[in-house]
Amino acid sequence: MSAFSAEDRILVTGASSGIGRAIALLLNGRGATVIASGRDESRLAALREAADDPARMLSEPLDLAEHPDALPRWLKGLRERHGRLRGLALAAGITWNAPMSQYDHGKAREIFDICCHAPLILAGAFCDRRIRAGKGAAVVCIAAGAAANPNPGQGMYAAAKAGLIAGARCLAAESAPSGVRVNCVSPGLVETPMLEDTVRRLGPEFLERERRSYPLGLGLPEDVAHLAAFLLSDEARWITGLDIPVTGGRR
Amino acid sequence: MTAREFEELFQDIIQGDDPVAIDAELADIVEWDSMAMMALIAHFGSKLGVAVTFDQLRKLRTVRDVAALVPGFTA
Repeated sequence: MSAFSAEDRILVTGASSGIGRAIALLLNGRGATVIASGRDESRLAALREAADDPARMLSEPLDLAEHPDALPRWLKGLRERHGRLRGLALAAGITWNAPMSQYDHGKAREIFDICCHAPLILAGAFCDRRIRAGKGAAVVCIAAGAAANPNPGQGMYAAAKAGLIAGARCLAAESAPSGVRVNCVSPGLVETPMLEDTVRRLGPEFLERERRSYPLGLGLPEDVAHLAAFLLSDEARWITGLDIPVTGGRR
Repeated sequence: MTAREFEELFQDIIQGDDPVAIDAELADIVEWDSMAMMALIAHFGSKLGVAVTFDQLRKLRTVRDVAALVPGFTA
């Protein structure tokens, strides 16, 4: 089991909900200092209360889509306030279901800002040796199984996540000589508020149809968090540039 | 939005070959399938700011019932 120390400061985006929340709680439970970022301050406060050690669960509210270009400066501010960062777990995301006939530039830009541009800007800025830890620095991006196998209606979301995977792979190659590892995790359907929102719009039949294609059933946020924690730890020190599916056996 | 304007919008969204009458039965429109519903939900959400679900749409009978979901629709 991967273990961390309080000196291991890890930024988790999307920490107030779903997979990001599970990652934040798991890392905190394993000894890391978590810098939890999300849009909703009250949910970040609830996250802190749920943490094994609330003193190591720091809140940094932010809407990633508001000023993506300002994210490197924000990351630099985190380093000044909290110290060098050991890692990033980039889990913030939104989804939207629309057939490609309804491809909407405004909506696509919003999805790309949050699911692709923001994590890549943060990951790129993290590689600055003035911001990251000298040893063991690692980035995990939460991508999506939809990037490789999109269902009808997932075009904008899948395209953004595929862009994230490609950008992360490029960054892995660029940053490997500096010892920074960059990997993606691509979950299938996970029981999160995001999925609940999708089911509300698309109806319960969508969920039942999907459920049948997962031999191990739908995932839980913790199923993704365990892999993310492993990839952020030194146990994964020879792993970089990968996109690892976590899909309960679905291909 | 008038009935005429909604007929045109609806035809565009479902990509129908033929004009759609405001009082047409949804069950009689061959293009009105799950993809068309998803397209309409997306269009309503991103362009009109109206949140609609599959369940809501399935309970509707006519094109006019769909139009009535749009604030400011004048029958």
